This record gives sequence, C-alpha cells and structure tokens, in this order.
Amino acid sequence: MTNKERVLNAIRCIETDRIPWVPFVGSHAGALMGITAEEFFKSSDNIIDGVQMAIDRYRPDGIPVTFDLQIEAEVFGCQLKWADQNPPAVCSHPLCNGTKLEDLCVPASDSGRVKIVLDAARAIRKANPDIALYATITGPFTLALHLLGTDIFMKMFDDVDYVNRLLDFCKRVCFAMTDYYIGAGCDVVAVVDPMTSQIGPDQLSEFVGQPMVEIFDHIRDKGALGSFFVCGHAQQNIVAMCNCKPDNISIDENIPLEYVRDICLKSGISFGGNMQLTTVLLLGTPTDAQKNAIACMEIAGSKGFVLSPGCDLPYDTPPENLESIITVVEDEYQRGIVKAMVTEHDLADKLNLSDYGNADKIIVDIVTLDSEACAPCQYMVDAVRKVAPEFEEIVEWREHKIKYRESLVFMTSLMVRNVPTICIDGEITFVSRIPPKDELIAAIQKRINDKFRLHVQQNKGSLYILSDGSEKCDKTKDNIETAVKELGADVSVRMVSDENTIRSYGIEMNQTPAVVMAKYTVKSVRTVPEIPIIKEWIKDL
Amino acid sequence: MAPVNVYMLTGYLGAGKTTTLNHLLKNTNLAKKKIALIINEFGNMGVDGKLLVPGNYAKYEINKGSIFCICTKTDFIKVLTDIAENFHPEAVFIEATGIAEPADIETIINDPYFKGQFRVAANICVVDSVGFTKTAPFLKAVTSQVRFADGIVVNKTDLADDGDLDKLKSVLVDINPDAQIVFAENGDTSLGFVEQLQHTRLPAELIQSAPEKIIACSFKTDKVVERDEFLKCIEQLDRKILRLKGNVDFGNGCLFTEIVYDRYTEKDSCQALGSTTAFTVIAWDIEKENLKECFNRCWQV
Repeated sequence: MTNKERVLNAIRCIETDRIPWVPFVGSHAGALMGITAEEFFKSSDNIIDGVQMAIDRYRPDGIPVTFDLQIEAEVFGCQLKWADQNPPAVCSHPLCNGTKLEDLCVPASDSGRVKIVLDAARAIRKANPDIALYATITGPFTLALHLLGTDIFMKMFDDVDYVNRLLDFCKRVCFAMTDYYIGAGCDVVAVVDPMTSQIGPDQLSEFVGQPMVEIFDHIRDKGALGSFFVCGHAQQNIVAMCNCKPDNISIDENIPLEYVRDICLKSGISFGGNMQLTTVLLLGTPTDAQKNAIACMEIAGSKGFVLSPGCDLPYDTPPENLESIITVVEDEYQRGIVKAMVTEHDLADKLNLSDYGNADKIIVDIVTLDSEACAPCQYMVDAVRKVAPEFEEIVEWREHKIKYRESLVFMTSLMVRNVPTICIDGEITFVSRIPPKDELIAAIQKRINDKFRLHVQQNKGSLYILSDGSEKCDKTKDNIETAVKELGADVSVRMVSDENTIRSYGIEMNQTPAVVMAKYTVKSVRTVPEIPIIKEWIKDL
Repeated sequence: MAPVNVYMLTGYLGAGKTTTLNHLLKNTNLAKKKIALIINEFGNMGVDGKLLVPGNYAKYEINKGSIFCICTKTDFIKVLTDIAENFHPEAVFIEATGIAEPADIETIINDPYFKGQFRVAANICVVDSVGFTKTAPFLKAVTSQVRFADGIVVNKTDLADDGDLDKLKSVLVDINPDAQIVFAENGDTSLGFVEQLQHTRLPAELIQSAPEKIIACSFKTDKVVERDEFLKCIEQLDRKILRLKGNVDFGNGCLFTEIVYDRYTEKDSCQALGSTTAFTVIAWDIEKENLKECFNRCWQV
C-alpha cells in the first residue's frame, strides 16, 4: 500500500495497514530551510524545496502544498501584513472600502500567488508520486470574512440576502481553486474554514451549509476527496459539518477526538486531527509528541482516521518532535515502549550513577519493556543469560522492566532512551539491537580489560626508605629497586633522611632502616566528590 | 515573586475597547506604572501612547494569519514569555479580538509553562449598547465574553434610550448574573471600577455547554400574513423579542417591519428582501421551536 493509497483509503473509511500521518507543514517548512515565512510563501522554488525537506525528514503519508489562507484574499485586494514566522495577516477588507461584490471576479490560475502554489504543487507531485498531496483552500465563510470583515455578523441580521450572495461568490472561488489544484495533481482538497467555529450550527446550516455541500460535491466530481478543516471551539458544529457531506473532517485540540469520531463514523465520514500544536509539538519533547500521537491513535481506532496536527504547524516547531512521530505510527512495538515511558519531567528523582560500574564485578543491565511480554526484549535478555556463565562469577546481569517506576528512574539516570538497551557497567552499549554472541562477549571482555588496566593504574604506589645513611639502608634500597624491576610494578622509590620527616612517620632514628609503603587509589575522576563521600574514603584510610 | 496582574478587555469589534482602555490609562496611578499592553486586534493603533510614561510601557501585537484566525495560542505564549523575560511589568493589559474566547486566554495565562508568573486580576467586557443584540445570536464569542466577565461596561449609552438600556441590562444579567455592570458614554470607565473587581475563573467547558440565550430565527413564506395574529404574536412574546427585521406581506404587498426592543415600526418594503414575506427575529430566553410555532401560526390560520 503506498502512502497515498493509505491516506485516500483512510479518508474513504476503508481499512488500511496502519493509520496515515499527515503533518500540516506550512510556514514551518521555511524554518527547515532557514528562511522567513515571507520568503517561503512568495516563491514556488522555496515551497518545493521546503516541502521536500519536510517529506524527507518526517516521512509523512500526505502533506499539503502550502498552508496559507490569504492567497485568495490577496488576489481580491485584501492588504497583507507579512511576518517572519507566521503566515501573512489580512489587514483590509475590500467590501468595507467601497468595492462592490458585483465587481469581484473569480481568480484565474495565474492571479497573484495562485500561480506560485500551483507551480509548487506540480513539482511536488512529480517528485513524490506516491504521497497524498493536499490542497488547502480558504473556506467560503473565512473568505467572506476576509472580504467583508466582521461586518458580516451585523449583516447576518441586517442584510441576509447580501450575506447569501457573498457566500455564493466565495463558493465559486472555491470551485475554481479546487479545479486548479486538482489539475496540478492534488488528491485531497482541504476546505479550511476556521471561522465557522465562531457561529452556531443554525447559522452554519443557514448560511454556509448549501455552499459547502456544493463545494464537496464539486471536489468529488473532479475525482478528488474533500476535507472540512476547522479549528477552535467547533464542537457544537460537528453535526452541521457532517451535513455538508465532506469525505473527512479535521479538527484541532479544542474538540475531543472521541466526540468527533462517534459523530463522523456514524455518518460514514472519516476524521482527522488533533495533535496539540503548542504545548506538545512546539514546547514539548519528542517523547511528548509520540505520546500525544499514540493517545490520538488509540482514541481514533484504526479505520477512517488521519493522524495530523490540529492546524498549520508553528514556524519553529522542533523538527525532532515531528521526526519522532512516524516511528510510533509505523511500529506497534515502539508504541508500547513510549506508552510505558514516563517523561523526564515526571521523574523528579534521579540516581547519581557516576560511580556506577566501579565494583570488581562487571554489571550488565538490560533495560526492557518486559521480557515476558515483548519479543525483542526476551531475545536480548536471552543473549545475556547465555553469555554470562562464560565469565563465571565475573559478570552479573539484571533486567530492568520499565513498567516499574524504579526501573524507569534507573533508565533515566543512565540516560537510556530506547528499549531494549544493554548497558555494561553503566555504559550504553547495545541500543535496540540484539548483539550476536561473539559481539556481546567481545564487549564484556573489553570492559574486563579496561577494568584490569584501571586496576593496574590504581596499584600505583610509593616506597619510602627511612635512612640514616648506613650501609644497611643502601642495601635495603638496592633490594627494593630489584624487586620493583622484576615485578614491572609502577612504584616510585625514595630515600628519606631528614630526621623530622622520619619522626613524622613514627619512626625513631635508631630504628632505621625502615620502609614505609603508600598505595594510591583513584577515588573519583571528572566529578567534584560530595563531602560525605570524601568522609567515607578517609574512614577507609 | 508575586504574580503580575493581568487585566483582560474583551468585546465585539467597535464596542469601544480601545477607547475604554485609553480612559483607564489616563488614571495617573496607572500611568506611573510599568505596563505591558497586548493588542490582539490587527491594525489597532488606537492606544494612546501619550497617556503613558515613555519607556515605561511596551506594546505587543498578536496577529496570526489574519485577525480571524483562532490559532493565536502560539503567539500568545511567545509574547507572554517575552514580557516575562525581558520587560518585567507591574501590570499587563490585554485587548482581545472581538472573537476571542476569554477562557482560552485565561488557560494560556495559567499554563504551567509560565509557573504562575501571571494571574488574571479582572476580565472586563465592553458591550455596545446598540449593536450587542444584533451580533449576539450570530457570533458565539459575543455572549461568551459577557458570560466570562467580572465586570461589564455597557458603552455608547448616549446612543440608546433608557428603556432599551434596561432591557439590555436584563439580558446581560440573564447571561451573567455575577458580573458588575456599569454604564458608560464614550468608554469613560474609572480605574477604580476595574481595580475593585474580584476575578472568578469559570470552567473553560462552559464555552461548549453554555445554553444559547440569544437566538436568531429566519422566516419565509409565500402566504399572506394575518396582521392581527402577527401583532398578537409580538405582544405575547413581549420582552422576549429583542429585534425583528424584514418584509411582511399583510395582503397589500410587502411592508418593511422592524422591532428594536419594544418599538415596532412599519414602512415601505425593502426591495432587496424580495416581494414575499422574509424576516429575521432575534429573541432571548425562548426555545427556537416555540418561537417558530408562534410566528408560523400567523400564516396558517
């Protein structure tokens, strides 16, 4: 099943091999390229390159050509205020400034920035034949607001006929934009009408219902599928939106997904959404994003659902948050892991493991979901279990099942991010990969060698010969030097003849020659040891 | 550190939010303070900077996509972060868009992300005494802003008569019995009124579950409307009708009929509405079905 088939089947409420993932990338693609939103929206080359970067990095099943609800408005003479990190803003409304509704004409395919997005659509289509390409057109009510401003709410009472004529015109604009985008290769036409969330179901049915029904019929007649995009508090309108007969309804985090699921599926309409744009995708971590994606997928069920953010992604959404999503979409096993994981900010207590692995034995820790419940975890534990006896009593191993809180604390403290993972003496060694026997043995052996080398280094010592300059003292020195040489030990030998220094060792001059040995032990490296820890060392002296 | 007080100013476009804000800023106590203004209405340049001590206030604009786009949460968080990190004001005033849901703004302000650096001190809604009942049934936020307010400034009272104001007040009390209401001309509101308000945070779910207090219903018919029955219907519904507007054919061609609060007028027909009966009623405190039933009787007798 291609990505495109997966999206189209999901929208048609046909069974798919997995849930499709469609990130609504708009100005965010500009951030990926390191350019401003304005530079992005004004150039077909930039749109092509930016969307391609998003496709390559986020591996989506579908993607919009762009996400800019001001394209049509700009053609009609609405003034735009451009921003570096946002789509432009409409700041004037021609029907309030003397322009007559009768004088407005449906945009041509080469009007304003329509040409730019159509050129981009064609190129993205050509380069990515297997991906579902979304067209995002401005819905009739939102376009009417661009043209007339908020006067429309007064006119809904004062001049119903005018409002109806205006919406009829906006509908014809939607027809034209639909035709252009489908001609450029788009598979899904998203009629983005966020402003419908500002009116109630009665007004939606009265003013927007009929134009919408015709728009979605038109999209289907042209061989594509239509989605009704809304954002904001539109819960009250979902039934009225279904009555507009779209193939799909897409919502944001303001509406509970289960509510939309129940109403849509009853009407044979698929639905999409509603990952949290700000708190999760913009401000959260990749794990937060994955958890949110999983939560959406679990509520939605496997049929008739498209996983997507609630709306156009913020410009500076961290790409790693979006990259992380496909792994949980594709891989049920990864979903299990992420679900079991507690995010870092949930874990206030972290262990200080800086001294971990300094014991005589080698400790092998296997961090798993649960070896009894997950196959890769089981194989990893088996691999260690089989190899451990070869090192007799030198190697000790333990499994940490992250379904238990203490194991999670341990995992976080060791900075382990994937499951299953093997750590040898606290060092992450094998991540999500079951090592062949030889490789595991080699890794453990390497650690044993390292430890031995460390052990040897720790045996560095000094021998002091307390001497009064007699012949006996010289003979003692000769013997010591021969012994050191024969052993190849790292020991320094010094003669001490100062009386006060000799007495400081508790030796009187008439007791010489005397030998004092000092052994050095490395107690810590690269860290500032805590006072209680230092006290423990001193007690051992 | 004590949280910074945030004052929210809501109200439909043209209700007089900026004028009201300028009146508040005239107060010398406020003018001395270090204030951040968040203007969530595009192209609104009306805040009079001369009223404030130069360098002691900062203005932040939020507009994403268009003045209509609801997805301003991201920008709001960015602006509040900027204010908290770089400006350290003594108070924040937010002039929200006509379509803003106060509960959404409050949710952002109380987001754990800000670690309690801000608190909503008062939520003030400016109501246009003339236009309110026209927009209320069509734009959800109009009633929602009244519902969530701690204080309501009924503005432009010079343009409405006393009877209308009384009825408007009843409607507002019905929507929000807890808010304090003051009347103002030209946005003239005292800082004292704002400062003594006690903020009540209502659950955000009310946005979805609030009953529609004010409804609009359109009627169309080719039949002749029985005039006596029509007037009887209006009389029966009494205070429940806030407005009515449109053509009604009482048997001698269409007449343009209008009700504003209690005043009923008839004049020559409005051609734009066509040659048959077509009118819209805005009512409150009545079920839509009851309203329909009442008027439908006028041409089914």
